[in-house]
Amino acid sequence: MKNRIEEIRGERGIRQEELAKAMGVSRQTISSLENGRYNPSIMLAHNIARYFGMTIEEVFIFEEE
Amino acid sequence: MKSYGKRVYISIFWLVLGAALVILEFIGKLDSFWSGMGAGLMAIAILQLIRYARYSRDSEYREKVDTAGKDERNRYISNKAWAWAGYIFVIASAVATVAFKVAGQDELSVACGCGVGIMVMLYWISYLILSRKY
Repeated sequence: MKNRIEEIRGERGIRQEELAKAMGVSRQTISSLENGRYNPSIMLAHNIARYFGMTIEEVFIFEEE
Repeated sequence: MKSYGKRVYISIFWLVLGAALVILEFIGKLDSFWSGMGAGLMAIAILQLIRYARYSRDSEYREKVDTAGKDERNRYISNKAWAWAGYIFVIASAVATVAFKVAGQDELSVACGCGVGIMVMLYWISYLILSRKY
């Protein structure tokens, strides 16, 4: 699953540390999400989307394998 | 960190138990196996207590530990590491069972075979319990 976290975060000038703190996860988790190495739980995806004021579909791009 | 106070008491218990084992070896009541175990318990308990002391005093460290404990990726990695450890143990034990049998070490072969059997049995019991839960 791809996502636009890095892009949206960059546009808004939010650092990985800030997003991580707001989500209650480590900075490495945000980094792994951005690199596509880790897929988030539905709760984390929901919280990230809500943090950006967007829907899950706008932040995360589901791709059929 | 969940139940911080309880963890401190548990570490103190391991420290006292370890010290008791070491003392009992010194007065000749136990052999060196138990004192070795006691020394190991003491070392782990001391390290844990140092960690807990830092946790209670250093707010930055406390935040880092709490985040790591709640972090879903961290939990995912931890679960995956346990799964890998289990797989590797079963496969290595199965290989060792055959190797020891070929080498004529029947007792070791049986011990390794039992290890495989117990692990597989534990897996099925765990699977049964978890499949009812989820």
